[in-house]
Amino acid sequence: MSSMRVKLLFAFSIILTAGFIATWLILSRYETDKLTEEIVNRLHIEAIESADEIVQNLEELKKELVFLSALDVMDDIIAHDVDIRIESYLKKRAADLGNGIEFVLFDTAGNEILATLRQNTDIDPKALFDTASGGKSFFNRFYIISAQVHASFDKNLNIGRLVMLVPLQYFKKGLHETGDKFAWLLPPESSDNTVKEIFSAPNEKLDEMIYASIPLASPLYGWKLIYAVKKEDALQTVYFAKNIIFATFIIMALLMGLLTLMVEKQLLTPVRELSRFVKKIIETNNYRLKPPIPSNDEIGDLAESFAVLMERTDNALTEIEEQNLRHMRTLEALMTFLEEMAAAKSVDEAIETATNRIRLMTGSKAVDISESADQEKWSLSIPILYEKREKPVYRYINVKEVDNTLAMTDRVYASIGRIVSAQIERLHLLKSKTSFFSGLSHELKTPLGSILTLAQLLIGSGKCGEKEMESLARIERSAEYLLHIINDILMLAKADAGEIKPHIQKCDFRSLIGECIEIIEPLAEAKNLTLEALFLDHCKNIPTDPKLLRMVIINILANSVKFTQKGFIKLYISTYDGDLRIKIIDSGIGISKENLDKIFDEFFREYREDSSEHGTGIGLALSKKIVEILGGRLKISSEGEGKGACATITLPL
Amino acid sequence: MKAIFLLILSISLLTAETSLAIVTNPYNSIDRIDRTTLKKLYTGRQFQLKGHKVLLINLPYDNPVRIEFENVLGINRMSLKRCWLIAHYKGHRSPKVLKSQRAVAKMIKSIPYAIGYMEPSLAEREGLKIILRLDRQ
Repeated sequence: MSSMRVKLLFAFSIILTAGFIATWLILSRYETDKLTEEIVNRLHIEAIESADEIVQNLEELKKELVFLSALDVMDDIIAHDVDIRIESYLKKRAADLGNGIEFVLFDTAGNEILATLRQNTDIDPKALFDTASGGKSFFNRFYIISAQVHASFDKNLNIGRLVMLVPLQYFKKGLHETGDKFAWLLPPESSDNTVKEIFSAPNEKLDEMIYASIPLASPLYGWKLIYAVKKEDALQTVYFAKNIIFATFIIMALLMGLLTLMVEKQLLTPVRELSRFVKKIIETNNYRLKPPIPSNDEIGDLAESFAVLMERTDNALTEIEEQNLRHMRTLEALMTFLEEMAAAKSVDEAIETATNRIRLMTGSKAVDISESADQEKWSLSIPILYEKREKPVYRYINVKEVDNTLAMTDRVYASIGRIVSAQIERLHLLKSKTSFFSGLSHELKTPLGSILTLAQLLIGSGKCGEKEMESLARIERSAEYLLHIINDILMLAKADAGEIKPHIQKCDFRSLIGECIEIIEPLAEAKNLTLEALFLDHCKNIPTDPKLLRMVIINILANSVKFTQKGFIKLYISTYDGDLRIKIIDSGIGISKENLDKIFDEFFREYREDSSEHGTGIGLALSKKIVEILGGRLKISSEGEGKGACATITLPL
Repeated sequence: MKAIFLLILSISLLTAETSLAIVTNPYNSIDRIDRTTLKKLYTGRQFQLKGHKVLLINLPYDNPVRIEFENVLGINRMSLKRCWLIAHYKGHRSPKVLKSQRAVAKMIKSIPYAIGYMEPSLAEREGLKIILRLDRQ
């Protein structure tokens, strides 16, 4: 997550640094060079002007001297020791010119006629004259200008020499040092030390300066004029700009940091929060959470949209859940409906139950069953195949004002219709089967009763011989067996038709079991089997129908005795988890695994080569029915053939 | 000291006797000049002497020797300026004015073709060639 911040910082830094380096380079290289060049140019121009001025000044002085030397009054040289007119004149001129400029006048022989020397009294006139005559320009600390003086009346007559002494400092008049600017004259290398002393350069090194140097024109050949400024002064603006840029860089860097933080706070933090929120949702699957809305900007919009999305998702999920619940309830209701329908014993009961159930399920009070449906009047009609004749007959369950608390779809209604149809059909079938069986039983029982009564009457009369008696006894036994079977069938038919109603009462279970054992014991003893009952709990006041239960236990015990050749039959009676359990274990021939599922089928008998016993196959089916009527369960299990069997009756307490 | 004083006195007595001397450089070829020519030279009517160039030396306007010289020669001082103005426009220079007779003497000694006037005693002392003597009137 911090990588985003690093990326931002990196990008900002690159932009800033690139800009800074570019500006810095431009300033350092290009601008400095350009500025230096400009300064040099300016200095050069100033130097040229200054040099012109110096030369001009000297030229003017020279003109002055020439003018003076050509004056008529100069003729006085000829009569030098008798006249002072020239002296006063030259002194006046020297005073006018100022700047320490002096005049010395010689005759042709080099004798000093007069001098305006006011300060420089140490000048040797002879040496000065020689220097001036020799055409040299420098004498001591002076620049000398000299001219021959001719007689005014005869230009060819040389009468002397006029020398003008210009102090070397006078040159500096042409130099213009202003502000940071330095200006100085550089005499030729061959100059005297006195001259060099006067024109000393500034203390600063030339390397540290920007300067322009130009050679001076005549009469100062060999001289150089230099104008210079210190680099740090000249490039002050550049340095200043550099400093400003550096400061700006620092400020920008700080601002950048701040900006990054702000961007992170404004942009990344909300995004991070959202991301964390999404993770939380993924972890908890809780779509009802409200996402944080950090700001009013685009991210805020995103968060709001996200919130809406979340709400919709939550609604959709809730709806799906509700729908699922509704479907579940519908299924549950349908199951209950199925169960209730299955429990219906007669067609009328089935119809009534169905009507009530549909009322509950649809929330509609207006449920009506009619043979012919009026589609316009009723909002829903569920067709029921009522009776199968040559042509199918339909009844319709008409439902009005359906309340959709349950997911009652057309398919559900169709299912309901089918269930009702199937149950009615089944009830019809059952009714016909039961009536057939009971009819058959009654039809058989009447002649069988006559046979039995007559056989017993004959045995009791004592009028028959031994052979006849034996036949009569056989007849009686066969008739009794047949009667027994018929009773069983009748019972089963009754149970199927739901005509057996249990009479629940509290009974002592111990005595009930005792009665059963008493009946079976002779059979067991006959086959030399041990028969015992074990009570693991006290079983008094068990609410059940003793008559029916006794029938079941006797039936199972008889079955066990029937299929056990040697060994034992044991009863375990216990209460477990709110149920009463009766376990009957034998060491008989057992049941094969593939036949375990079929043993409760009516008239099923396992074909066994080693079995010599015969039966109708009704016993277990009847027992199961009766146990179910009593509200319990009957379960038969076996490890396999020859490993015995175990029958478990579970009854609710 | 006394002797020098007596000498100066005697000179002044001498000058009082002999009026003015017109002098020139001893190397000058001119030995004589007449009054008329002299007057012409000093009034700007003649500028050469026997075909030679001449430098006239004068004394300041209010010098007594000059006044005397001009009186002797009969030069009208009033018209003198006008005369030289005309000469100036003709391209000639007025006489060279020097402050003292000594300067005149010095000048004449230096310039071979210079002609000036002074007291005769001075001229003799300086060894100048006297080409004309003017008596006082």
